[in-house]
Amino acid sequence: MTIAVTASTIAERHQNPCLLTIDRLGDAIRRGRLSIRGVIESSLSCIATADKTINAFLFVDPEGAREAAERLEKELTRGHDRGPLHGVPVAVKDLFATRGQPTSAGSRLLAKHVTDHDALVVRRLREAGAIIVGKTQMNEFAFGVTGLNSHFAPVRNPRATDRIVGGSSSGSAAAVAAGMCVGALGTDTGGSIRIPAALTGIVGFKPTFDVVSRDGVLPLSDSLDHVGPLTRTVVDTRILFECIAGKSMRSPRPAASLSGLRLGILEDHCTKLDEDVADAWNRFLETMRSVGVELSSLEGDATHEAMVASTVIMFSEAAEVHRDWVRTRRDEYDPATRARLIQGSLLPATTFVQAQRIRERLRRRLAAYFESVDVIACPTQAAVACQPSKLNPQVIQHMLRNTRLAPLLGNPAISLPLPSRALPVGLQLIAKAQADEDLLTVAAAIERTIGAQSSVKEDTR
Amino acid sequence: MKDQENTIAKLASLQELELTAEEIATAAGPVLELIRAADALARESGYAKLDASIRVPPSRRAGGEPGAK
Repeated sequence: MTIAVTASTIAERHQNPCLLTIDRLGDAIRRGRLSIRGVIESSLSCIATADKTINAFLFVDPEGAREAAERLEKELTRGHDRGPLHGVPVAVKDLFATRGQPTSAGSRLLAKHVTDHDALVVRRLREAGAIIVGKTQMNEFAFGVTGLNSHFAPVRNPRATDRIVGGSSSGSAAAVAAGMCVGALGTDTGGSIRIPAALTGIVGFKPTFDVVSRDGVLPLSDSLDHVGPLTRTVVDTRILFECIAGKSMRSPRPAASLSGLRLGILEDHCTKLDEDVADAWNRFLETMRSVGVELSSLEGDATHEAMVASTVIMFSEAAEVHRDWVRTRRDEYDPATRARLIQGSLLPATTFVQAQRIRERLRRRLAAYFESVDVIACPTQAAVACQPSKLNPQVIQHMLRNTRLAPLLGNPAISLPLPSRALPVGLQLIAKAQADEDLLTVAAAIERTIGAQSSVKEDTR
Repeated sequence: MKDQENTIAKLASLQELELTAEEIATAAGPVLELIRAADALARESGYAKLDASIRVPPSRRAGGEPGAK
């Protein structure tokens, strides 16, 4: 196993400001210890160096980023402060429209597609002073969880370059984990934010369905697609989330106590864990008990139902989106995408209706769970990142097992890193629909308690 | 296996999708598996059967709670 930590190591050696939290970075900029131009040069330099190995980016915009840095620097000098994201380098998945830039969704079918507008979330980021440094790699049309795309070089895991990153927001997760940017946007239809976040040791948040606009984001499955942030800490996630959701960006919340929190353990999501995941998970449970969290078991088999309903709905809705091209340009798709789109095209309407019925049944069951618990927990992934050669249909199914439920039902879910022996392990927390802020508060308290912010560099300047 | 592939070919034809023999063979297993799995799980939703072929969702039965689907 090659635990190279290549990019992160390079970044740390060079005191990469992208490894600072957003508030520490902002503080350093406002106190004049760092310039926005310097921050952007560090980000671009890290991309130029590390991305030769990692392959996180499909498109980098040094010119646009430098221009924005110059403008935002002047604004700050004049006293115009746009808030916590002023001058912060971020990346966006290649599924989001960005004005005047290629938006290919990681596909040859859209290779020459240049969008003439910004997705609403991209516009909100720019208005908040964030600087978009580039567009990141992904599974073609976000249809997959491996993070691999036959049209492009494989995205490598910054925590172990011989391992996959997971997807579909593979480039966004890798870019953040490697310190190429401070945060990134991804999309999550069956786990595409939380899976790569878990496998690269960062935080990935899928908000409640439709709380974040999907305007200007190419669709995969209309009733399952979610937009959300990937960052290094939960506090940073909250800042990006409040920005893209169009909420007023507040200062950090007071620390929440975990004592008395009712944490429900989704037992059928906690079986068949590999050794490293089981070890990290058991230590997490012990820590929670020790700080007064009330743990309770949630029984019942949700995984099979969620997998079947989610697959039928996702494949059918994706086939409808791609209906014309599946007929006329089928050979141009990545073989894995093509196979799924054909399957989706062949599912009858009766099966789709049945899937919706299963979805409603699961929704009622989850609502019943939330009568007795505040938050539901399970490992995000049952295994650590594998080598690409180890991928097969069973492994892929296993990767999806714990992440399908939340997007199917629209509940907010977050993955944050647990302390682990070697490769990253993710903890998934799921809350009631619309309880996004509460979930982030609990996640931040857990993050502080378990002390998993290993990749966050302290500002020592 | 041949029967499965014939079923898939018919479904493809209904969708005006001209699939190759290889595409049909590849899709047959996963598609039929999904159809059967969804059917089996939906049956557990408590359909009331009027006869062998008509299934009534729980929400339409006497005493069915509003909002139940």
